[in-house]
Amino acid sequence: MARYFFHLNQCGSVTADLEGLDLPDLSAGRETAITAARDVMCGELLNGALCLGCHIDIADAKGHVLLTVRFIDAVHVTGP
Amino acid sequence: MSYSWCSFADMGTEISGSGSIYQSGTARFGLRRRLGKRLERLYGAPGDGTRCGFIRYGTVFRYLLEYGMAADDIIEAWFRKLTRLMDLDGEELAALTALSFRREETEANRYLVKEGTQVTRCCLLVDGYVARHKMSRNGRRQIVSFHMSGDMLDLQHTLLSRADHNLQTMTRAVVAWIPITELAQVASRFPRVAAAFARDALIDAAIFREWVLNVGARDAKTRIAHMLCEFVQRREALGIASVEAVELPFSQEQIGDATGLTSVHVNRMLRELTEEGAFARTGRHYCIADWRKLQAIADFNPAYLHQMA
Repeated sequence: MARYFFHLNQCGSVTADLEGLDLPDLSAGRETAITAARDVMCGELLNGALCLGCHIDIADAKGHVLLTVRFIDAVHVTGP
Repeated sequence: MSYSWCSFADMGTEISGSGSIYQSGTARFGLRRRLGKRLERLYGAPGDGTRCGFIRYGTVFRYLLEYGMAADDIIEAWFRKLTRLMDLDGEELAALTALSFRREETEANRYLVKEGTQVTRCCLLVDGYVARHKMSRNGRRQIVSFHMSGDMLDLQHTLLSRADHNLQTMTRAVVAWIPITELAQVASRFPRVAAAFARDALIDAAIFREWVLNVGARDAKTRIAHMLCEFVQRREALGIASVEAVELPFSQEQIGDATGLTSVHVNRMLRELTEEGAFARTGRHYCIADWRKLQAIADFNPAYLHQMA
C-alpha cells in the first residue's frame, strides 16, 4: 500500500489533494483517477457544461507526478 | 449543563459550591429522599465518602455513581441524549445507570457491528465518531449516517437481532457495550424509557429521509454543505463542540462516501466552499468559517431533526 495524491487540473486551475488515498499500486490509482474524472464530469454535466481538456495528476507524497489521467481518455464519446 | 458533587450524607441538604444547580423545594426534597432510598436499595448503605453527583437538565435529575459502576463519561454520554428525548424521573434514570456497561477503547476504522451478524449487545458511543454504512456489490461504500458521543448506535438491535448495516469507527473511540437483554428489560419495565428509545429511532429515520433527499436531489456542493451543517448542528446541540472553528473529523473520502461522490470531487467542492467563505482550510484540516453562509449554501433547515439540534 502507498499513498497517492490526486491533483485536479481544470484548464490551468489546480485543486491540490492534501490528503491522498492509500491504494495497493499505481494501477489502482489510475482506476481511482478515471472514476474521479467521470464523477467530476458528471457534476459539470448537471450544470450544463463539460470540459474534456482537464486532467488529474497522480503524485506521490513528495509531489512527483507518477501518472496523468486525461478527462478525454476517461470517457468514450460518440455522436455526430 | 452543570453539576456538582456532594457526599451521600449531604443528600437532603442543599448542595453548594461551584456548579451548584440543586435548589431546595418540597417536591424536589421528596424526590431527593426517594432517590437516596433507592440508591441504598440498589447499592447498600453507603459509607462515608461515597460520592454521588447531581446533574440537572431542566427539571430532570440524574445521578452519577462513582463506585464500582459505570464511569462518569459513560453516564454523561448516555444521558446527554436520553434526557433530551424524554423527561425521565429518578427511578428511570437510576435503572438506566445500573446497566452493566462494558467499556472499551478502540482504534479508528474498527468494525463495531458487521452487516449480516447476529447482535447480542448494543453499543453506546461515549467518545469519538462512528459511521453507519453499507457496501454495494462492487465494493462502493455508502455512509448512511454519522454518530457522535451520546448516540446509542444500535437500539434497533433490541428488536431486530440481525445487523443490516455496518458500524465502523472513524476516529479512535470509547464505547460502552450493554447486553441487549438488559436494555430490553429496562424498556419493558419503564414505558417512558421505551418511548425515549422509540423517539430516538424515529428521529434517526427522519435523518435518513433527509439523507435520501440529499443524495437524490441536491447538487454536489449543496449536498456536502448540508451534510456538514447537520453534523455540526447535532454536535453542538449535544454539547460536544461549538459550531465554528472546530475541526471536522472527516476525510475527503468519508465525505464522499456519505454524499455519493469521489474524494477528488469532494476536494473540488470544498475548495469552492472555501473560496465562498464558508470554510477555512489549514493544510489537511478544515473548519467552518462562516456558519450562516454555510447554512444558506446548504439550504439547511433543522426542523427535521425534531429539536434534537
